[in-house]
Amino acid sequence: MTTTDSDAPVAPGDSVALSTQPLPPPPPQLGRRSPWQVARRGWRVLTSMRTALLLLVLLGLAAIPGSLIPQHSLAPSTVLRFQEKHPTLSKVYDKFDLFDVFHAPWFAAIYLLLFISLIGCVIPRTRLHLRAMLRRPPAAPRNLGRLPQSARWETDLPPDRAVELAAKALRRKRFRVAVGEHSVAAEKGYLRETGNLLFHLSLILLLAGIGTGSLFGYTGSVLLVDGHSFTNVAALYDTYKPGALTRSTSLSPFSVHLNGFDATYQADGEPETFDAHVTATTAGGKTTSNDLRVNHPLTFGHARVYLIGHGYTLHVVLRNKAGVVEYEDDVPCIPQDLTDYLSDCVVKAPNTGGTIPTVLKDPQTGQTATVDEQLQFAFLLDFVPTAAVTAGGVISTYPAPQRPRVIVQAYTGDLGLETGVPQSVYDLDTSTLNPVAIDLQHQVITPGGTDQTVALPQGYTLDVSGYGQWASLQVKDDPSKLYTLIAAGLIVLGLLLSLRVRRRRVWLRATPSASGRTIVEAGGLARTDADDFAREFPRLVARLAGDVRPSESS
Amino acid sequence: MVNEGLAHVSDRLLFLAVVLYAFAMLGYAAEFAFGKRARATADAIEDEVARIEVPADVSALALTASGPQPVVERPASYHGPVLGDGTVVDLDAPEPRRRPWRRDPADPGAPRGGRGDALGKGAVALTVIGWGLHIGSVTTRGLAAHRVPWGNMYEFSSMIALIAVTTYLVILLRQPIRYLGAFVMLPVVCYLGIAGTVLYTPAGPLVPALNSYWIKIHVVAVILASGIFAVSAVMTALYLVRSRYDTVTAAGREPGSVARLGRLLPDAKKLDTNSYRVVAFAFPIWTFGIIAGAIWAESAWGRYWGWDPKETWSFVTWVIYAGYLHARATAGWKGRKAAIICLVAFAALTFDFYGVNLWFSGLHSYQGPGV
Repeated sequence: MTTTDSDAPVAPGDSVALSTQPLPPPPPQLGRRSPWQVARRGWRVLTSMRTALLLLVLLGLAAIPGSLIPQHSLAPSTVLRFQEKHPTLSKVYDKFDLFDVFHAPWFAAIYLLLFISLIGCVIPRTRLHLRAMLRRPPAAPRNLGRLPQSARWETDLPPDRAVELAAKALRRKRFRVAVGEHSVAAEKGYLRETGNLLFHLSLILLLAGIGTGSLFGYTGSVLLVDGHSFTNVAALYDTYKPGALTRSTSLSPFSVHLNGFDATYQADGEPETFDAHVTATTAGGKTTSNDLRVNHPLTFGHARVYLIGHGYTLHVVLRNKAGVVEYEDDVPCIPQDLTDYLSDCVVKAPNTGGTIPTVLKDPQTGQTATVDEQLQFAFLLDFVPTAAVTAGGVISTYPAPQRPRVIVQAYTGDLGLETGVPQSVYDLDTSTLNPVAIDLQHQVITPGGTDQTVALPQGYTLDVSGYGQWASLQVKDDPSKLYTLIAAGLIVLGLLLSLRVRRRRVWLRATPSASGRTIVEAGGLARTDADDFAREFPRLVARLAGDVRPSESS
Repeated sequence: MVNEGLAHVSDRLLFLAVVLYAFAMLGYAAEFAFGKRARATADAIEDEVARIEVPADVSALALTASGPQPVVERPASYHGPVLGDGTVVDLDAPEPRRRPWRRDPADPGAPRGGRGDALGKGAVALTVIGWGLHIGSVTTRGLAAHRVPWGNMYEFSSMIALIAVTTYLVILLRQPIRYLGAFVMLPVVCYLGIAGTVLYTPAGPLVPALNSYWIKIHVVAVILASGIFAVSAVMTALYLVRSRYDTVTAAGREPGSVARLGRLLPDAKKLDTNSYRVVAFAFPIWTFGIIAGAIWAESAWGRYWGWDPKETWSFVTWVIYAGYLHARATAGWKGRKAAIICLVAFAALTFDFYGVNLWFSGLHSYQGPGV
């Protein structure tokens, strides 16, 4: 604990360091120690300040790899790329959970040990502090002149009166005062230790809050296309991460309909505003229109809905020779670059109603046969919001759709959707597919323009008849958030008290002297910040001596 | 939208401020150099004074109890309070007026006047004027862009430097720390130089993620804490120099070129205490800054803590500073070891601001070099 920078001697019973136990005494003699002794010793070592400090530093060090090595929880795709690039190193990293540091058992071990150590420190120390607060300030030492701060003067007042006046003056200075026979003991600054304990208790509370939140809460995200709705049911999320004790069958009931999305940009392409226009419906059937913006989440009970991303959609229509629509959808495109919003859209149309003659080869006999396979189409469409033609091809120069174009690549072949192997709707493996040759003028088309139609084999056509927007929403439910926040506030309060308040003791003794005058001795001990107290003490003495001054007239 | 005229004024003011800071730095440095000579003279005078007999009747010499006090013989008729070290406490003395900035830094008792002293005072004056211009630069920047002037790395750096200078001036109001002048101004000037060239970003509006009132709370706390931590780091480095000088001279060896600077610095304990106090002042602000950031993150990104690189490194910084504060309370870790922890913590802080932005991509990567 942050306590002192003084070299002042410390009265017995004052613990300067956090540890309630002094460092473990040397083991008695050789010989066997009982398990109880070993456990006691272990507990002492664990709850010593040195151990707590070591664990604290260890926790800091342990967090560093989490920022240097890509993390599953932050950037899963970066982790995959890293693993492809460094397969051997990745195996080692995986062994030590280095791709998921903050959920690794060893990381948890460090902070759990730290908090056990903290609890072991804080509880006994709280008991001591409570006792100290109930007790009177310790009585004056025999020789006040040997304290780091001391003073001495004489007065004509009788000792009783001098002590009484001094006690009054000290109380006015908000000292806690105990008056003895011809002596005063005073102490001030108990709030320092109170703050210190408050800080450490709140740290424990904070961790408890974080823990409960992750046990009972959940996080989910969903990509919502313009004109579509989302209802808060676990199965409808694109990704859904519940805590170990979350009851996923009873999530806060609400639904959100995306009416439209607006993004504005500065001239240099930096985003200016993002605004999702949504209609929210709560359990009672109450419907409200809202603007969901960055920094302005919507709240439904414990759950909050955040706008975390956006992108474009393309309206794609696939028709057969007769003009019958075989596939139609608003396909979300994933931005490849957030500065120009060049986006990839993947269209998979396995059921087109048509067939295609395919040459099959028997891997064992080497015989070939031609059979009619189902005609499947796949398209890779690159949406270019503001297109410019350069020597390297078509690029995007601005994130808003000022000159929207779509670069078309088409494929036929088995998409492998029936194999049961899960695949991402946003990725297309083209290695097993056959590219379709598209005539030059239809390789780059304008969505919704006169050139929007691309001719495909067997009389099929692809229309990119327009574009829209999608917004990605994140829903986060953390039932203990409020407690965590309160704990955080108390941490700051505790810190301020423990670092700003100074604790000090002042004693005063009045003795009658042979000359008939009273000798007043004062002593002071700073338990923190001795330099400040060295400045304060003479002023305090001036004040006390001024009040206990000899009446000059006598 | 952006007022180009005002933005231009802001750039000019910052340039002028840097020039003044640079001259102030030279002034402080010159005082440092001349200070050596002045102190040699002071020693000679002191020797002279010591030979003069002190008159017997010194009852009139009621001394105020602040700063180093000579021991005064008091007449037998005096019954007022006397401190343990023999200092007489004057009951009627008003609070002494303290003007530490007018005193020779390393030696408050040294005679006034002299070339070094004049240079030091001049340097303080230049610092104050430069500081005024710096405030002007930051203010006009904010007015030009119609927002708070800490939206990107350039503005952020300028603010941290401003806080560091402010911290120095505020401490100077309370204690004679003019010796710090050159060592605070040197990093400030370099830092502003880099900010104005490498990190420079023209005035513009904020990206949506930054457009929240939390930018006034979280970022201000973080800037304040960083500027103050920066001053403590300078003090700690000087402490290490001085304590090295002490060790080397105590061993009877000749100090090296860096340790030799230590001769001109105040005593190690004072430097150490001062730097501890500055850290103890900044640490709650830093803590508050992290918490405010977490609250903001909760409303912007949907979670209050996500181990984003910036979050991780501010946590690491917090942990190391907490370690430093604890280390000061543990016997075996006082002094040099604790000082080194303090410098490591500041290195982590620096990395948090610049390393994280330049090498990692995280949620804190906003326009160009973001905040």
